[in-house]
Amino acid sequence: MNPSNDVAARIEIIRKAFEDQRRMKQTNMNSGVAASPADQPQGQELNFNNFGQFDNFPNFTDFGQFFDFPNASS
Amino acid sequence: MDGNAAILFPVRLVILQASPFCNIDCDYCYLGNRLDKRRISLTTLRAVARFLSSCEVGNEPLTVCWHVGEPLTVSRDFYEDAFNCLRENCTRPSLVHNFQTNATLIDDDWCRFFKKWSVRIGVSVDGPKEIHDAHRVDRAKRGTFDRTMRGIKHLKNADVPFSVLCVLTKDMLGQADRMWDFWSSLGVSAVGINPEEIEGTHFRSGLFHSVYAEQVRQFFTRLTERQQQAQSKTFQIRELAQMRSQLEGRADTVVHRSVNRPGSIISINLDGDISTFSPELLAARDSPYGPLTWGNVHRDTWGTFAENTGFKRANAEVLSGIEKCRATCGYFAVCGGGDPSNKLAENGTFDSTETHHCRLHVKIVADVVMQSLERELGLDREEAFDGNRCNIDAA
Repeated sequence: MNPSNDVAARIEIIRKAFEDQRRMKQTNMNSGVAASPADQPQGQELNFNNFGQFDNFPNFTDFGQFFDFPNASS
Repeated sequence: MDGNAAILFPVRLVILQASPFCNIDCDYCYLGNRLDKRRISLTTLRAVARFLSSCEVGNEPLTVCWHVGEPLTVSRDFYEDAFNCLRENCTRPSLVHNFQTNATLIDDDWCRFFKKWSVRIGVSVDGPKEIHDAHRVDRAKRGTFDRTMRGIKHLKNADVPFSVLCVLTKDMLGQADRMWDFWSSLGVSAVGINPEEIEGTHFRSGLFHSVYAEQVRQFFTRLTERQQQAQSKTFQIRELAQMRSQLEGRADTVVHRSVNRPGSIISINLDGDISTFSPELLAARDSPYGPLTWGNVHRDTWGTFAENTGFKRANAEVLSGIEKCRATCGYFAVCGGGDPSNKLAENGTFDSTETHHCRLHVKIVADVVMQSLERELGLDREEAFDGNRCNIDAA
């Protein structure tokens, strides 16, 4: 199989494309073009809290929590 | 902190069961004792506070979610006492309380209480009336949609923000546009979508046939399209937003799931029994591992909990299962190794890999978001994608 067909490779390609975008924006910022906070590079570790709140979505925490209880039973 | 607790991660979320009782009777619920009206005592809550004081936590406020039963079936007076008890007896960072509720009991008095204590609210509602009422019924088998919407109206009138959590059932498939319009009408900022799961006392899922996987894919694809077409800022869909966030990370981004990191989530039932990993384990019965509670707040600390033999065995198997996922699954980089409760319910062991739940909730979502991002980034690979998406027939 072509490596680009592999899911892991696709993930890597997408992440690298985003890194390139951020690098380009950083370059633009250094040369006087402003970047928005959303353009800043992300941290290395994301905590995918599948059950609890959006750990990496501060704006979400203002609107209650998500709890990945099966079948949202309550 | 006790040295033996080194295998535990800092607590990020505490699940507290005020009562197992639920005033409604959803046909997909995994809890087996929803008629039990007992409630947690203040004595046990003081012990909870002592236990939490012994735990390693971060510096941010600790999130406490009242759930595993409908929290609003217990009185406001109880919660006044409970919140004060925890505040006075817990030495850890301040607590942020959350209710995950069916909203049927919400009135103006509850809204005043939510505001007084800055309680965060998640409402369980499955969509337009006939979709919601197909599964979310009371014990007389009457739909609960009207009662839930009445509660939501109280929240909106009182300006109490809330998120929505819904269960993706086969009744919802093919209805992505209606679901989108329904969520828009609620005025929420965020929606979480959980596929109907096999858990606890719910042994069959209407979605667990490969024929539905393609429809689940179409459902998430259509939601992605609606999100892109939206003219103004709209609500976020948790599954799509989380996946995008994970794909936007650096190439060496490590994705962790709190549900498979011991200690990250601590679940405590009304008797003070303690569990960790997926909160659903608190209610699991007949496990090959025996009881899935590994301590009690009346006698244990963070350190003695970590020493529990049953916990150590479970932890070893959860870790082994994660490593097997890492070694065998291309989606590991955006998943982190799956959910132990789904592995146990579907595969009979924590030490396992793929589940139908992860096909529907991780792999298909990843396929949809990756395809969208590849277009956005100019990495179009339509013809390759068809040969490379999650194998839905593996079910």
